[in-house]
Amino acid sequence: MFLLKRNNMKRKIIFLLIFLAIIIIGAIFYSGLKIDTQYTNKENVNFIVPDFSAKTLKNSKSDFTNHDIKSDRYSLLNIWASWCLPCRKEHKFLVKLSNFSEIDIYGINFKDKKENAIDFLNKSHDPYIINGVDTDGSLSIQLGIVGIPESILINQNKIIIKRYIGPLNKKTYKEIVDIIKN
Amino acid sequence: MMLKKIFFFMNLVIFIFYLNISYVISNEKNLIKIYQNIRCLVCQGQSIDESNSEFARDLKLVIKNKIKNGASEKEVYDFLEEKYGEWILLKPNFNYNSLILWFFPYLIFIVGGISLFLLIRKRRS
Repeated sequence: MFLLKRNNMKRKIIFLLIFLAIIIIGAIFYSGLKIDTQYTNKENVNFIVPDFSAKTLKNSKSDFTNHDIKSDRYSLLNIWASWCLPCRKEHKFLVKLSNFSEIDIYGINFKDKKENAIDFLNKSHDPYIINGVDTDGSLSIQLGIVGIPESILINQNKIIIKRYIGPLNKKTYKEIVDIIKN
Repeated sequence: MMLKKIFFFMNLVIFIFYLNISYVISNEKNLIKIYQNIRCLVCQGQSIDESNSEFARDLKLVIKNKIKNGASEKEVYDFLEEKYGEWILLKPNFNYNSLILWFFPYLIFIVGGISLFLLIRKRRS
């Protein structure tokens, strides 16, 4: 009789443990469903612009390097291409930003045909001070870029303070203006 | 005599050809090993070896050039980690944060082994 009771007790404990384990595992899996696995390089900021050197779009004799970025104002490094439709969409915001004296706009032309790129800039306003050319994507990797369009906001100390993945929009435009006006 | 010379020459050609090919293959294998450890950031759960996306192709090109210029495997990883963060490496680094991750399998192995040993000994007696 006593033995039976002890067995019953043991069984109950085992059932309880299994039940608890299922609940815990279920909770872990459920919370795992909500974790965002999409990588963004948005956290990859707060360091000095790395050394780079690229041929320029309009005048291929001189190079566009990290030393061309001035240290008395903000800079926005925009990676774009004429074949990239979202880049066309954000273009008006770049033109608007280029009217501010507090910020310089630089471009990196990504895997583009030179004629198309120049043609695009001639037909619309050209907001860029200098345009570097990235023919094989290696320069973009130097700068830690995932895809185009992407814009890198650099402060007066040449430190990358923000990355905008995808086209600039009204909200991000406002944010940039707020930052440079302060 | 002539035949011997020709034979020797042919052997030499084959030998050089073989050396070349084995060199290329071993290089390629090393490259693929690196590719398999780099996460394709714009894809979900793929290495750049498996992906044909623009980003993966660019990365492969950069890595290939780096290796060609004499960079070691570790230098390549360090470079990419600096640019994109540790997330880009599929095999996480061994550090304080990943201690549990690295030791948990061994811990389970040891605990399981001990409990199995105890169970068997109990059954025997």
